[in-house]
This record gives sequence, C-alpha cells and structure tokens, in this order.
Amino acid sequence: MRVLVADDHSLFRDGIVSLLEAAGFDVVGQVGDGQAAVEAAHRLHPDVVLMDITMPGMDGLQALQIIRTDLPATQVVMLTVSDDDANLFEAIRHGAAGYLLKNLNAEEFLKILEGVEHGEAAMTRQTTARLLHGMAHASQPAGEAADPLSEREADLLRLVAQGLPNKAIAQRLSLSENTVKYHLKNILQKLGVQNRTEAAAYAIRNGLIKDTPPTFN
Amino acid sequence: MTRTRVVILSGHSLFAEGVASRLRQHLEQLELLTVDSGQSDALDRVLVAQPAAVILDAGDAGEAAPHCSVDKLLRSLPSLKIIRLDPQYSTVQVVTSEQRPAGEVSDLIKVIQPAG
Repeated sequence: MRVLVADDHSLFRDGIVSLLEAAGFDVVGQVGDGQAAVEAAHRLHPDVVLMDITMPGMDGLQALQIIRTDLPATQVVMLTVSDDDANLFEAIRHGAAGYLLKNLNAEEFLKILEGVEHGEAAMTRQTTARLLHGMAHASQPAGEAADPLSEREADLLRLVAQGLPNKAIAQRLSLSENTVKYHLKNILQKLGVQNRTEAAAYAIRNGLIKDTPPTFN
Repeated sequence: MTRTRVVILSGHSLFAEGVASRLRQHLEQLELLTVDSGQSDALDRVLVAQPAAVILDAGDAGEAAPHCSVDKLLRSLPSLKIIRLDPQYSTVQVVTSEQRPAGEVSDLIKVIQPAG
C-alpha cells in the first residue's frame, strides 16, 4: 500500500514513517502541512494519506476535502491528538476513511491501516461508538433511500456500523467474504457514498437503520 | 565509537514505537533496549540495563506505568536523563535530577540559593 504522511510534528512523522516502512508499507512521501499534502497527493497518487488535523497554513480537514474531491481513489485517514467530536464528525462528513488518535497502540494502528486496503474503516471501536452516538443524536429527519436496501443489505450495514470487518461479518451472517464485499459494493452504490464509514454514518443519520450499540472486546 | 545505552520504556504507543524504530537506524551511536512499561518488573529491567537515558511517551508514563514511574526511576538512578515524548508538542521534555543532603533548613536554603 502506498502511503503519504502529512504531519507538522516532524519527530512523530519520522517515527511513523520508520514504523510503516518496517512493517512493509511503501511510504511515497512525507510533508508538514495541508497545502503540501494536497500537492504531494496530486503528484504521487497514494492509496492512503495519513493526515494530521492541526497543521500550519491549510489544516488537515481542508486538505481532506480537496483530496477527496480531486482524487476519489485516494483514501484519507486522519491521525490526530484531537478527540474533539466536532473534528471527528467533520472529517467523516468530508469523506475520511478513518479517524485515529495518536495515542493508539502501534500494533493496532498497523492492523487497522492494513484493513483500509480491503475497504475497512480505519477506526477503533471506541471512536466508532462516539460516531454512532453522535449521529444517532443528530437532529436529522428520517430519510428515504431512493433505492431501498434489501433485508440482507440492512443486516450487513448494521454490522458495518458496529465496526466489524468483512471477515467477522461473513461469519456472523454465514456468508463468504466475497459475498459480503458484493453486498457492500451494492450498499455503497445505493447510498451514494464512498466507503463503509460514510455508509454507516449515512444510514444512521437517515434512519435507514436504528442505532446499534457497538460491541467491545 | 562508544555507544550510549538507551532504554525505550514503551507501553507500545505509536509515538514511542515509531521513535524506537527510527532510532534503530542509529545503532552505531546507540545501544537500544525496549522495556514494556506495563510489566511488573519494568523498573528492575531498567536498573539492570543502567542506561544513560530513558525515552518514554507521556501517555505511557504516570498511572499507565505504576511499576516504573519517573519518580521511581530518578530515585533509583539519580543521574538518569529521562526524555518524555508527547505527540501534542513538537518538543521533548528532558527530566534530570540532583540529590543533595538536606538535614536542616539552612541546607535547603543553600540548595535554593547556591553560593556564588
């Protein structure tokens, strides 16, 4: 997976880059602000941008919007010290493929990042819970999907919203992983969203599924 | 070249593990040992290593490392240099200590106001 790292904290960035390279990721670039991240993303077309939020000049949320608009194939994962719900919701609303805190365990971080390649949301269960809680309490009208989800798709979306990866969903629904991927692709198309995180947020916001408490290990 | 012995006291946080990974590229200068701050024998392992410096993540210290706090480290190894990383700040905090005998208030005042 080709990764671009954008963070103005150069010691942290240097460490992350070293950790990613040691784990076999292809780090194609590292930059220290949002504007440089946008320029590097256009030039390098990474699979994933690891994006800090607070950076000088253009911040990570602004850079996220531009990259998601200009380069839809590039996923952006926020990596920040900010556990502010407003930043979390704004990032997801603008198409972030995940939201990770810098105090995360290194092993968990690498595992989550590997999942992005397979279309999984880069988010811990705790952050997913915060997201679901926030979305469930947002004052949004009950929505109407143009092309309603099938019962199976709704079941699957409910599990996606709980933060389960494809393998676990497949086990839970007695399906193959390929079938889960197939259903997920249809769900994304029906909802008009880019990734599973957006799908879960959209579904809850529009009342397509009821808020489901996440499970913790 | 003499290598400086350094312990990375890590609770496996991203910052500490990242810095450890980066420092491993400088093994001609540094002798690195990683100690799990959550282990009950963490302090013993640091003491056995007798490092010149300990690097830890602020998030991995304090209550997260009850067996190997900064206070315990400095009491056991007064000349130790402790380097605290914090992903919130682009500076590191360097903590060193000095031990002086202070049996009377006058000793304390001499510590507060050294002659000269």
